[in-house]
Amino acid sequence: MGVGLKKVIKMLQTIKKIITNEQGGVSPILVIVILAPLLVWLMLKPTYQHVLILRHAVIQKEVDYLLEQGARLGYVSTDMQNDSKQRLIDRGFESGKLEYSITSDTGSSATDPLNPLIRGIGLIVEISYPYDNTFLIDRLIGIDPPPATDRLKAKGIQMIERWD
Amino acid sequence: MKEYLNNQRGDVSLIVLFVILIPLLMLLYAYTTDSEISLQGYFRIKSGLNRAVHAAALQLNNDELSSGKRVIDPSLAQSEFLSYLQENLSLDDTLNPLPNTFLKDQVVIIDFKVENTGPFPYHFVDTTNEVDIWLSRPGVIAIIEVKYPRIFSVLGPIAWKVNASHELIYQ
Repeated sequence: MGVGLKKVIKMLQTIKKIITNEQGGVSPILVIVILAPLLVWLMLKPTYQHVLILRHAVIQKEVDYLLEQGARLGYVSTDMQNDSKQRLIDRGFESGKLEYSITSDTGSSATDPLNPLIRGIGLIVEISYPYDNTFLIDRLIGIDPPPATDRLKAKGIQMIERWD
Repeated sequence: MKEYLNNQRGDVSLIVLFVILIPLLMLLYAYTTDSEISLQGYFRIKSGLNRAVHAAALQLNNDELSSGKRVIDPSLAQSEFLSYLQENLSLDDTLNPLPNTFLKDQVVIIDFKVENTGPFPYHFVDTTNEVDIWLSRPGVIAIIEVKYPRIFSVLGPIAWKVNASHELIYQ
C-alpha cells in the first residue's frame, strides 16, 4: 500500500515536471501539445481552401463556356463534353469524378446535334466534382468533414439563340 | 510577469509566440479566404446577369417584325430577364436568395431598360452607377445591386453594382 502511494506521488511529480517549467509557469511541451494541431491547421488550411475555390472557379468557367457555345448551336454534344472534360483534366481534375448534367427547361434532350433545341428554350448545364479530401484537415480542430456524397457544383441556364 | 514571458534562458516563451501568432494567422486566413471568394462570387453574378439580359434581348416583337421592324417586346423581355436572373443566381420570386445558396441578401434591380427607339448608335450614361454603354441597335440594359455575403467580418461590407447589356439578337 505504502509503495503504491509512493509510486502515485512520484508519477504526479513527473507529470508536474513535464507540464510546468522551473518558475512554475506552463511548460513549453504542454503548449506545443495543446496548440500544435491548431497551428498546423492554420498554416495548411488556406492552401486547401485555395484549391477548393480555384476548382469551383474552373468548373464555373467551363459551365459558362459550354452555355455560350450551346446557346448558339442548340445542343451540347457528347464530343463537346469530352473536349470540356479534357480541358479540366489538363487543369488537374480526375476524369472519373467529373459529372456533367446537360438538360433543357422543357425536358427535351439537349445533347443531340441532329435535333438541336430551338430559340427560346433554356439550356441548363451543371458540372459537379467531389470535395475529395479538401475538408479532411478540419479533423485537426475537431470539425467533421462533409459527407462524401456532397459535391462541388457549378450551374447555369442560358436561352437558346438558334432559329429553327 | 517577466518569468512567464521569458523562459529560463531569457528567450521569449513559446506561449507568447503562440498568443501573437495564432490570432495573426487566423486574421490572415479569414482575409484571404473572403477576398478570394468575393472575387469568384462577383464573376458568378456578372455571368448570371449576362445570361439574363441575353434572354431578354432574344424577345423579338413578332407583330412589329411582320412590318419589317426588329424591336424587342419590353414586357416579354422583362419577364424573361427576371426568370433567368432568378435561375442563374438561385433567387425566389421576390429576388430573395433560396435557402443554402451563395447569396444571403435580396438582390435589388436598380435599372432595367429596353431601348427600342434610339436614335442608334445609342449612348446610355448613368453617372451615379458608373455605367457607360453604347448600343448600335435595339438592346437591353440592366443594373443590379448585390450584397456580398461575408463569411468572416474582416473585410468591410461589400455591395456590388453589376451592370450588363445585350443588343437584340437576330440572324
